[in-house]
Amino acid sequence: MSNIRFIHTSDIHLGTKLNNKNFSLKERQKRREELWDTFDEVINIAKNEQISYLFIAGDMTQSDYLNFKGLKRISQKFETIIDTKVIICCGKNDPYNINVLYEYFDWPKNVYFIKETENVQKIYFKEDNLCIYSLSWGNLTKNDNSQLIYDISVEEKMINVLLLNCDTDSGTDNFSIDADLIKNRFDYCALGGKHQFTKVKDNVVYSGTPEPLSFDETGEHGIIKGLLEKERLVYDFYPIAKRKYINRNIEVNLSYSFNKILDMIKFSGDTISNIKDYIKVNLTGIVNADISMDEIKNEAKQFFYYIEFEENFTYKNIDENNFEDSDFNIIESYKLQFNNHNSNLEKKAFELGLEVLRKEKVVN
Amino acid sequence: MFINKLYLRAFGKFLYKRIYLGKKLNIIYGENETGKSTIHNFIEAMLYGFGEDPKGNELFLKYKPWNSDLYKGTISIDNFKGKKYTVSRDFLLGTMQIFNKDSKDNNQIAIEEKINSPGDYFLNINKVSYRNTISIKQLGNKTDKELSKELKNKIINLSNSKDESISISRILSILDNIKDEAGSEDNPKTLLGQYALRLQELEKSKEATINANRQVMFLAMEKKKINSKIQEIDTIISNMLKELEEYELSVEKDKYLRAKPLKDELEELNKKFKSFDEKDIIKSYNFKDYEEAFKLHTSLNAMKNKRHDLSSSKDEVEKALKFSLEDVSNNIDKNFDMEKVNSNFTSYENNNKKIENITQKIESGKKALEKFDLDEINKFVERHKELEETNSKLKLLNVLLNDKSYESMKAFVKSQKHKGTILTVLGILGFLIAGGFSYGAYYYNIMEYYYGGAISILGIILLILANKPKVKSLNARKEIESFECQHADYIKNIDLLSIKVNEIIKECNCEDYDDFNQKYEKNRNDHNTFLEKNKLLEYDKSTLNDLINENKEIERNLLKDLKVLLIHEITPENIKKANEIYERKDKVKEDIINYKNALEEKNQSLNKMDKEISYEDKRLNMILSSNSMNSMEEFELKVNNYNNYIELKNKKENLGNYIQTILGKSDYEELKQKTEKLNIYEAKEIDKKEQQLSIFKKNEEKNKLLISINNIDKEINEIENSVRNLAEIEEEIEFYEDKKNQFKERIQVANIAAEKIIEISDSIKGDFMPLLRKSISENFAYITNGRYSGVNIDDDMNITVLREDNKDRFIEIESLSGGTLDQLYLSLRIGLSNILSGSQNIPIILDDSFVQYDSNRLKKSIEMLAKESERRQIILFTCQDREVEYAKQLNVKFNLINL
Repeated sequence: MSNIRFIHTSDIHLGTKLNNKNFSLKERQKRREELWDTFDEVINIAKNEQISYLFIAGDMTQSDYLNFKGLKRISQKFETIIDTKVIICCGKNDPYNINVLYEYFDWPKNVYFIKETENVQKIYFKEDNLCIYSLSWGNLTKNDNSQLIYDISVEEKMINVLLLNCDTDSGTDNFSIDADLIKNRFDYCALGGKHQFTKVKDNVVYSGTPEPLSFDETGEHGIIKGLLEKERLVYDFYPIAKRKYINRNIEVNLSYSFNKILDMIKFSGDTISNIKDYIKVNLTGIVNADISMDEIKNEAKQFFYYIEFEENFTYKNIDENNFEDSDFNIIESYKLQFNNHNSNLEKKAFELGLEVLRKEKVVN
Repeated sequence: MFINKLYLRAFGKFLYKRIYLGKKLNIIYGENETGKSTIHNFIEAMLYGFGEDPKGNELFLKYKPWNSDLYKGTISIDNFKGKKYTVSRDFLLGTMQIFNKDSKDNNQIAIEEKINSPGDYFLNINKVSYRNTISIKQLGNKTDKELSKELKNKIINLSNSKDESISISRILSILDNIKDEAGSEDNPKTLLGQYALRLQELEKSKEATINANRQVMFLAMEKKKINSKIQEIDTIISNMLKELEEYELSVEKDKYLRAKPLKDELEELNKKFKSFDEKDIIKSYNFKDYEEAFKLHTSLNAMKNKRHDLSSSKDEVEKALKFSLEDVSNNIDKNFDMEKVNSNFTSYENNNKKIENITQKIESGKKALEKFDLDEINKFVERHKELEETNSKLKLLNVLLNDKSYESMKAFVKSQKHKGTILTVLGILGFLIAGGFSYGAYYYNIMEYYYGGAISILGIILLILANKPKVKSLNARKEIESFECQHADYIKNIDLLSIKVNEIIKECNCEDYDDFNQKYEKNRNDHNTFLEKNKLLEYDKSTLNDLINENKEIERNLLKDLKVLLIHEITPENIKKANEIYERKDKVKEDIINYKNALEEKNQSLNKMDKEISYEDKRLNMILSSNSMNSMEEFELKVNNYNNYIELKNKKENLGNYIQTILGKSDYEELKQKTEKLNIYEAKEIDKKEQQLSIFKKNEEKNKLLISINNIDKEINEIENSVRNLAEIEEEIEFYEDKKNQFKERIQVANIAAEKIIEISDSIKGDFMPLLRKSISENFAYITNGRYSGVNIDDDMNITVLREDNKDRFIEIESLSGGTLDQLYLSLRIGLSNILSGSQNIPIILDDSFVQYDSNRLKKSIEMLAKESERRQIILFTCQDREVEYAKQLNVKFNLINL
């Protein structure tokens, strides 16, 4: 019997709404389209590498936002890999019930949807001696089907694969599965529901999303490619994400000049990443009140594909001690007025006032 | 305090450049590009450094020496709180040191106290203020009006913001603009209003999309339903097609099955065909000859058969003749009387039957007699006689013994007498009756009356029986007589007799006397019966002997007669046979004559036939030899072989044609392969045309459904194309909500900023403005040598000056002359520096400030500076020598540095 070549992916969230407020509308649309491109990439890999099984462990789409056209697009893609069996389990974001279009769509014959939401569904592929066990989410509310998974009795002589969108962290309400209780029963547990690639046990694995969706999902993203036979599993994580979300921390100092801060931002990562990835810079420390961070941010933008800032720094008046008594210029007085500003609003008011005052000063 | 020495160790283009400055007015003269600005900037850099901002960086690079590895210098300050200091700075290392120079021993002591900025330390003003106040750059070539306006603005700005260039009202208006730009949600002309409108539109779009999605869902449901219907139809069509295919295949199979045996037969024929010899295929004889020969051969055979039959029938006739001649009937002569034989035989038979009956009767009589034990009966009768005698004796004795017995003995005798009499009478009566009957029979000639004669027998019996009581009575009488005599012995005899009676009864196995009597009666009857039967038996035996003798005579006669017919035993069969022989004797004789005639006839026919056969045989041989045949068999074989060949050939052709008809256009081997696996009985019998029509109808139905699916797809497509993507709409809603909030926040931020600025400005107005007014007034009065006593700024920011000679008159700035305005400006500068530096007389640096002044105004300015230099150090950078000239003309003391 030959090895079973498989791809394991999950959480693609096709058609999803992008929630990053700092993204322009155009960027969001572009990013949404990039999810499709990545999905196409998965299909291409399956096609080119003659993959026998494509496991999708939930949240293939964001069903609230996916329309019929979208499903047609997916279906057409699956049709191009008619020799690859596509097994799709539904997750929290694309639950299987009578109110979703999945139910009413005419899928190609190589697509196997897990329609069971209250009982474990078994799919036998006798030609490969393979049995897949799975259970889809039926609604968006709490899922307490864990016991059903523990109760599965597997086919001893077959290759057993568990396909599930669940949580392996104990104590969570959402379909929490104890990896120790399943690792010995299945040859491979293809899990979904976590957006980061995570190897819970050698054979209990989250593929993570192939394309990250927020700054919470940093690092490499991709799919799992593997070979499976009875009691022998080989797999590898294969990054395919078009862009990464990268968080960077930059701590500034009162003595740092405008250029120094700008350079720190500019050279904070490698240039290729800067012109490709989504970068978020967390600015901390103290900034000289004479330096306009807005200007720095605007300057910096031209060096990045996308950059946004988290402002956790504070402004400080460099001269405040020396001129406490003999304050002169209104700008200095203004800076002093905001010396203890804590609220975001006050910080912004400070920046605005300073900006206006400085412009006034420059103009005249 | 004043700066008394600059040492540009390496700064800009200067190396080891030392400049010594005086306490009062210093004019640093040099044409353009001689380094005035470098020195000016050197002073600022020494006091404050270049700063971290872009402008600072720019300056750092600008003055970095190109011809030296060093980038440093010192500046000496004198009379700061009565002490001398030297500030040393290395720009490359970014280090700065301040030394205190003791005036007494000239030793330099580094100040331990941490001082970040020497400017701040010595001048008590920051860099910004330094630039704004003590460093006075080129003054514009402005008209008096412009100058007055500028000056007024500066004073107003200073009063409000402590900065001559910052106008509070303008700032507030900018902030207001920001707020106005954002506007409100109610005002569609503003951004917020537009956002609100856009959001309303988006909400509508969202609703439309949600409705559309719902519609699509319903259509998708409908589509699914139709799809499952199509699947059902597909299944039906596929089943029907399968049936059709199976049916067609079964038809083919049928063809195959029909053709198969024929094909096998053809194969066989082919094999046979191949087995033919070449000789068989070529015709080498005349078929007419064969026909003739065949006919001849057949007729010859028929003739031979006929001859054989004739010969056989002749033999049979001969046999029959011989048989008839040997028949026994030929022995019968004329005297033979068959009737007599038959009658004898009948008598013989009857006698035999009689003999048999009588024999049987005798046998049964014998058997019946055997039943009686005559000895026993006789014995019993003897005993009975003995007993009776004994009893009689007893009775007699008893009678004798007592009266009663005697009487009874008498009565007994009497009774025996009566008994004897009655029996005798009855016996006689019986004879009479018998005689009567016999007479009757004779008289009336009725045979049956003779039977009445039998009563005579009864009469005899009765007479015999009557004798017995007589004897008894005689005996009894004797007894009575003796009884009377022998009475005495009687009793004794009675006892003996009684014992004897009992012994006899016992011996005869009887219980008592009655039983003995009954048995005696029975034995007596048996004895009579036996005698009767024995008599009858004897009679029968004599009859039997008579019959046997008679039959022996008959038998002898019969055997004599039958001997002629060769019969030696008398049986019904032989008699029957004898009758038959007798009956056929005439027919046998007739047959013999017939057979003889027939024999003659047969002999003649045989001779004739032999001749014919010989002739035909010759003819046949002639034909055979003419066709080179040795025998007819050979000729037949030859012809048969050829005919077989031809027949086989024809049969083969016919078979081939027939197979072709069955198979039609199909190929046999192809059919075989195609239908090999099909079991013909599994195929359902169907009407092909009807089935095809049904399939067509189903396909039409399916096509209709496909069209409706297509329509649904189109409709879904149209619906989805008519609305926007929900995710996009929601993103846009979020985007505009966010924008709205940003702008709302911006309004808040602008408000906060404005509040703060107003707050500061108010505080400046309250604290700083009076100070400023006083300081300007003092300096203005000083510079104008008391011509003007002060400057006034009211709440509405109207600025006026007061002349010393007319203190009630407020003179508008606009009406002041250019020179006075310059004085006012300088007063303002000095005033400010005084305020900032805490009333230290810090130096004032003027950099080409008067380049555009006419000579008059320049003179006045020099005068003014000379006056001020009495109080503080003034450093005037100039690129023209006019300042030096006028200073000399005006006799002003100054320190000239030529670059």
